[in-house]
Amino acid sequence: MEQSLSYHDSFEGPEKLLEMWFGPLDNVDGAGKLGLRKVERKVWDEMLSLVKCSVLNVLSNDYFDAYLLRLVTPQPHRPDDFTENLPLLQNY
Amino acid sequence: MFVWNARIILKTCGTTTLLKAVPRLLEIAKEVGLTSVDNMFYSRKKFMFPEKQLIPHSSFTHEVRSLFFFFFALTDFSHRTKLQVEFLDGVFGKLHNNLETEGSTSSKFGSPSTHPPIIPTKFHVPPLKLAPITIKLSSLALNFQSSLITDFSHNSQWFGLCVGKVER
Repeated sequence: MEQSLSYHDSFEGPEKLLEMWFGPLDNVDGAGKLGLRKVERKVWDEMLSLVKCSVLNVLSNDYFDAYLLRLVTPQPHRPDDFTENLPLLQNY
Repeated sequence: MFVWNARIILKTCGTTTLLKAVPRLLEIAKEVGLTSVDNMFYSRKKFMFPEKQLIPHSSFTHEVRSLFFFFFALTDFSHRTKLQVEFLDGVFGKLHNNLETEGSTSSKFGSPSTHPPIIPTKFHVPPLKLAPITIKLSSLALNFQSSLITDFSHNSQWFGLCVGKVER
């Protein structure tokens, strides 16, 4: 049973976790989006590309922004997003 | 990924290269006026398929050397910042021995003028599947050493550069 377990029919679920606290805090003291929350989405996209991730969805509240990420697989032509094929489908 | 005004948490799985984010995160923070690091944590669970991981997660040595590089680069020894490295798993006895006293659960590097840090260049590599690691930097108001961060790619010089900073 265990011998049949391969990377392709299983998922590398164990997580890596990085947490960083920055300062000085008086630079970000106050209400609203300050500091890291002012960073533009394209900057996060570029940073996340280093990690081989992309953003699937974003949720926010008054205190923080939550980004749902997915792994960007190395295969360039993998049709993860079927909407890319919509122009083809329209021919039928 | 969770982003607060002055704090970020990045949690990924699969074959992501999480530690590669650190130098860029430092730059991004600096660009918005956050010029110091108060805390930094990294940990991971046991990989199911360690052979599929990419650099620097492809070997325990790579991973730990990356962390040591970041932590030393971020540590301003001239201000007597204390670097505390904790290996929260008993598996790493040999690593401890390289760093400090046997049987210690943590290693603390004090002022460099009296106790220059011993930089391990070779690690005992435990089996990755048995090796969850947690390394924690806890300090106050560390200043960026951006020149050191930039030299990240020169991996053979990682530790030499950091020691150079200590001597200054």
